[in-house]
Amino acid sequence: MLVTNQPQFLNNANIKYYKTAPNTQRSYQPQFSGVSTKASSVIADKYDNFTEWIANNYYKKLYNSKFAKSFIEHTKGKAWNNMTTHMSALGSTLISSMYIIRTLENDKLDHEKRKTLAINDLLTWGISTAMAYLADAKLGNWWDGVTTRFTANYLLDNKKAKRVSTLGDWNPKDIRFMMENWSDLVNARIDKINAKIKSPEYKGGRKLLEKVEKQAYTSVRDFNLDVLKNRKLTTLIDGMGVLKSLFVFGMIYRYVVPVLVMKPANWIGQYIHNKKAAQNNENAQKA
Amino acid sequence: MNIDSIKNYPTGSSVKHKRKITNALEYRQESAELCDKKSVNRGYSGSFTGIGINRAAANDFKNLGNTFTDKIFRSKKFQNIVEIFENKTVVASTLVALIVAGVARPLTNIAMAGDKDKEDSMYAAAHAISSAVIGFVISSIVMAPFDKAFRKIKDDPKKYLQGLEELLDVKEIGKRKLEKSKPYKKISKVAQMIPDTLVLGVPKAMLTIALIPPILKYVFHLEKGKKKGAAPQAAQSQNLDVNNNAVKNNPAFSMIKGGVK
Repeated sequence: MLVTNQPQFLNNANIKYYKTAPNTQRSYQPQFSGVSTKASSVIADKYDNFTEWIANNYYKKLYNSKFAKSFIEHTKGKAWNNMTTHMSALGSTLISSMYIIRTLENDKLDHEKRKTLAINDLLTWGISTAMAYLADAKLGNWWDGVTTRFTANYLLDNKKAKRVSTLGDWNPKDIRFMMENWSDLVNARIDKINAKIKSPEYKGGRKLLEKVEKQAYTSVRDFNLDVLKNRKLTTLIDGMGVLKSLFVFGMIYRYVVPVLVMKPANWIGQYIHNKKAAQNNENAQKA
Repeated sequence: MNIDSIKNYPTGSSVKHKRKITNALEYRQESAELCDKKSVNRGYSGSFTGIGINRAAANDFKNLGNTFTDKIFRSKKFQNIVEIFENKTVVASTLVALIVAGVARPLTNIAMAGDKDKEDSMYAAAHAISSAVIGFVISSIVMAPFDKAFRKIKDDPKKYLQGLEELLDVKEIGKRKLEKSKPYKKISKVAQMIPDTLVLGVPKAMLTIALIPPILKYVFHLEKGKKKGAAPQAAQSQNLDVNNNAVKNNPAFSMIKGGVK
């Protein structure tokens, strides 16, 4: 059926309203977006409250827990400095353990097969983890150099981070020299004021000089913390360390072992398998 | 050693040295004087406050800022990614998994596959991509509020960590002080990664296993049942890729393939 009459909402009055009062329409739109802004701000507030709850009930409680105290007491050694590697290894250990347990509990397999598979899982996990730790440690010094260069590049673009006001203008390409010869720089400054510092009765001065004599930075992170004092740079330097460890562990667990080690291992296995099959055939024919 | 402890060190007239030097020009003048006076600067010269920068020639970064790597290092995008690695470590680890297991490994597998197992490699590639994408998406969603909460701790440690000076080996709780604290650095990284490693790790692996078949079916149009000789190396889960590939691909275990599926 054809509808000839306009529906009520399209009567002349309404049309006139929209045609002649475009400003009204425009003024309506902000009201609409206002509602949406309000809704999004409510959501943002709720989300913020939720993150506040996590900060108070997870992070704060964890830092204050007995676990944290015991953890800090037991991880004072240098071997624990890079927690990213240990947490990655722990994650892999848990998941591998879960699959080993599942394999051992699999009723569809007989006892011997379960055992063989579980040992295989265990060996693969062990080799991968050992390789990952080894590679991470071996790349340590090289990556320190890369991080120092990264820092120098950051300083090229962020002149404020060079602390020119305190240190004078210097070229970031000399950053390694500065780190290694920091004591000379500091001594040169002290020479200016040495009369008092070097006097025997001034104990603080002697202590300071003793410290300075040994002062040289091998780590760009320490150099930044003591000398440049740039918080963003600290985050970036730490981020470079995490990037290295995650890539090393990710590559070993997910690429090197499954692709570059397992494939050749399979080829060798296949070769041995075929050879044995051929031998068996020969023996069978002879018999 | 703190450079500030030297720059404000008391010298000469007591009146002068009680005042903290805050004017940059004063430092420059001081440095310039130091450079001019050979007896004081030990013969060093150069732009850097009395240090002989010429000596650094053998030890400097040549072409700094101009090499391909330097251009990457200087890009804001790369710096943002590096920041994510520190502030959102779990998301970053799934990003690595996405690149390594979702791109590099499938490409290598396909490239290394012979004609016989081309189809299997394609199936395994689809499986690996699905697994990596699921892991990345789940971690990004779940970890977002945790990462924001951690940011709050980092930005206002006094509010959350007051009273932990002794434990964290700092004189007082503050952003700069905590940056130097090794215990804080260690426990913070553990706190950041625990939700994923200890709590989410296994459920995430289970969820990934459950979500892979529909993704293979509806995104890649692949179904295990319909496929002839479905890829034996299609692993059940991200981290288990290593283990399952080892088992399923290995001819030594070919006799028990069916039992693992």
